[in-house]
Amino acid sequence: MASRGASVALKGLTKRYGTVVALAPTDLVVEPGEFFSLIGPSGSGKSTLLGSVAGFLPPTAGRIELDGKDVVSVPPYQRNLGMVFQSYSLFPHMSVFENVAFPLRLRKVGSGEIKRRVERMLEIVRLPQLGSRRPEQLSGGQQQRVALARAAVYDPRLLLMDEPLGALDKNLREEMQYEIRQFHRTLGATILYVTHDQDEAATLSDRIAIMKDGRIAQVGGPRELYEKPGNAFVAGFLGEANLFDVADVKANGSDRVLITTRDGLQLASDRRDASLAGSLVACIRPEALAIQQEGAAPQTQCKSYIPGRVQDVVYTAGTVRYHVTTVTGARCLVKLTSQRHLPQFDVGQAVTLACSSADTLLIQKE
Amino acid sequence: MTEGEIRSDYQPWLISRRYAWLLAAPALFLLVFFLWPLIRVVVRGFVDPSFGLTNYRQILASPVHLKVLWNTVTTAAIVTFLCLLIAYPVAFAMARAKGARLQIMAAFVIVPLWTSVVIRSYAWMVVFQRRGVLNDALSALGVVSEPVRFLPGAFALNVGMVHIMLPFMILPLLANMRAIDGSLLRVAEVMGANPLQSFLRVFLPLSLPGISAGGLLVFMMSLGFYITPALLGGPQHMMAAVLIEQQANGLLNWGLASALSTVLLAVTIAIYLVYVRVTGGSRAASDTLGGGERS
Amino acid sequence: MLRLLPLVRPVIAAFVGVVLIYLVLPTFVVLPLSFSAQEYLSFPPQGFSIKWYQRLAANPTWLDATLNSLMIGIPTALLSMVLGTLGALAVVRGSLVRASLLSALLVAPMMLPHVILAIGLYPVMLELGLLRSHIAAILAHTVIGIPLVFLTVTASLRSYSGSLERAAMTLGANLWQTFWKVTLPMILPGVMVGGILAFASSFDELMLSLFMTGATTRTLPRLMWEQMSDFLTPVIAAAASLVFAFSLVMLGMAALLQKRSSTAGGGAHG
Repeated sequence: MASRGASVALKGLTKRYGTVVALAPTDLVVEPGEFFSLIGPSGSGKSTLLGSVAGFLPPTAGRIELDGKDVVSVPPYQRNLGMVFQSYSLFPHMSVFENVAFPLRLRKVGSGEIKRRVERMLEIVRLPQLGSRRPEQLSGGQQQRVALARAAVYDPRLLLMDEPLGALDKNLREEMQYEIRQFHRTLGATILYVTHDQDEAATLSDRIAIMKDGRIAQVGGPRELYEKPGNAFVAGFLGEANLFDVADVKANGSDRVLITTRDGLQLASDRRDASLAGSLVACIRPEALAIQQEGAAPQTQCKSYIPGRVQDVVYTAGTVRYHVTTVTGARCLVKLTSQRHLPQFDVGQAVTLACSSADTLLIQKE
Repeated sequence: MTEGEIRSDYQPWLISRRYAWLLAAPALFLLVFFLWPLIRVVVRGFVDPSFGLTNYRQILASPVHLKVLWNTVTTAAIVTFLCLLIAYPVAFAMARAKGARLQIMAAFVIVPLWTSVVIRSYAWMVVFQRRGVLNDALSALGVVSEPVRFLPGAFALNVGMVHIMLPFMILPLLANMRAIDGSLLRVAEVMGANPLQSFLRVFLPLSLPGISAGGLLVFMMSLGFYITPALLGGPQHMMAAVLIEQQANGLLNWGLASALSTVLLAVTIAIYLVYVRVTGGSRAASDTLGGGERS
Repeated sequence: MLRLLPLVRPVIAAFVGVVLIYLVLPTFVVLPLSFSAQEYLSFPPQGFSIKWYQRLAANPTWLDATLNSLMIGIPTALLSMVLGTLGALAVVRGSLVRASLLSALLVAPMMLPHVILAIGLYPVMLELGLLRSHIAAILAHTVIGIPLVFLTVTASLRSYSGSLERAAMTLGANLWQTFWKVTLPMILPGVMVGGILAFASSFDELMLSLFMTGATTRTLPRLMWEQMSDFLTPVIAAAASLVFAFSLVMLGMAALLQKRSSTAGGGAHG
């Protein structure tokens, strides 16, 4: 049985505006039925990429293959994809029912069939009784669900979403993220999703592409990207990271290296498959650091010790963050889930941070 | 980051390029029936009855013509000024009004707009004539013993023109004032400004775009006005449009009429250019005049 | 907004009241005048009679003039609606280089003195052999009608962004379908209001009609103008009152349409 999602392949997709490169030659493959997110800072090219796939931004060069067929010269209304915008873009002069029925009417579907499919779609997005309402009578979250229903009612094999939850407040956003996940599972279409919110991307996606300056920095699943960042940008973009410029690396035994950072810290790292050429950065996640009193007994599984002093303590629901300045002047962040039995440290206190070599990553700078 | 960043380039199916071609029909129409006639008028001033500046010399040599031109500009200026003085408080009151009150006030402003100018000028004639409303009232009050000759005259003309033009000053002012952010005035109050100061230093400057838009509209319309000056102004206070019509239709002196029209056109365009320079952009004009609230 | 000194408020209120009365005064002078039983113009009118209306209805000249005004006004409105809408679509949705300049061109006829346009169009119409025909007046009135439609449709288009049209295209609507099913319904109230404004401006227009029409194609304003100079009887008041009533109906329709468009278009933004 053929999958209900389209495969997407971008080959050398480029977009230039004069001398400005909005999208450098980009290759990407999205598997059928995959939920794939594009994240990155403003100007990273993610909207440009989405716009090209949609058909509103003809690329300067490259191919866009949907199910193996190049669609660069095909108008958007013939690509048979669905799109959801940040501003919902529901037709204000039509009722909810008519909005969702719109693409079916264009495809000359019979009215009995239209009624059945629209009602089924409204059930899926959990707005079953609202068919006769007008868009302006609905809340933001409801409007977005109607937009989803409308974009999917004609079973497109690819759904594009451009920051659809950007206009909603936090609680509503989380609820809608759940809805979208369910939606994806029910429909089985491939989803290409643009967002600036990395938590949202991690919640929803099978794989994520992080973009910067018109290029894809790294592609991978949420876990892979977090635990094996390819470079300092990716490491710093997803979650929080303590990054140290590396001055020197010495092999120390078969599978371990001794890192000397630019400001003089000594760290031990398990050798991974990172190549050791070019500028390197040591990366330690805040939750991988243990914080203990100055001079406390060393622990066997930790191989790196960083003495320092607590600069600030921040408590947010369930988490404690210690901002520590090391003896070498570097700033470190330690993140712990707050549990009552753990010792607490005050501002100004001298502490030692400890980290195992498995959690000390050695990565490229660029 | 919204889909505002997705801009459209040239591809056959992209809307913006297609839309641009739609301009062809209206542009062509206006070219033939608006620009071309205007050009012909300007040219005719230099060509009919003979090639050269004959008509313009005639204008400069004739004290009557010069007086008419001068009259036109000064009357337009006076009317604009009076309209501004009268319209400002009205617009101010309307900007603060809500609901039914606002609707009623708006009706008072808009109903005259929808009454024909011919009718309204005619009505002013009825008011100002020897046995008209005003004279009857003045006699009844014992202010005068004999009917006053208002028609034709400057007073009647100004009253009539201000009446016609007032809505065109009120509406731009109103649009501008309603858009002024009330919190700015509150901030001024908190910082220690008394009501007069917050009006002079905050509100008034913010209402300037409306003042200049309304002023431009009224001034330009007053320059070219025919009906009311013809009915209420008489030969003593003749305005340009009346003179031009007389020369063209009455005296069949089309060359002179064209030259006078060119002068009028030049003055009108000059005023518009001054406005553009002062307010920094012609977009401001068409926006404020054409529904600035929405955009 | 401002908390004015207690003294200033009633003064301003009184002033505003006077001005508002000043604005509607002439209109309501004419109305009772049309019911005067006397043979000449005087105010206040003595007696009550509807004879002026009867004379109006019986007088073929007035009926012809009214018919002419309608025969000119309606095509003017239609032509202005088409051309003005096309212009608005092009300027607002087409990314044109000198959009503001083109906007100014489309709005200019409204701002310039009609008399100049009239003496400019006269020889043009003469050469086209259209002088004194309905068509000449229609063309001339359309020139001043286009800006009105242009402004209202522009406002309508600007009240929602192009994302609606893009959404329609992703859903499968080609250019023509997008225009018919999405753009046009959205701007229709604006188009209609513009059309009504264009009609009203044509119905009321004097200067261009003076030059473009002849004895047989005289419009109502022109007839009133000519009669006005000759002799002043309350017939004119009756005619004026009828025109006023008609304008009010037009105004009412325009207001209703505005209300409908603001509730319909209020939803989508950005």
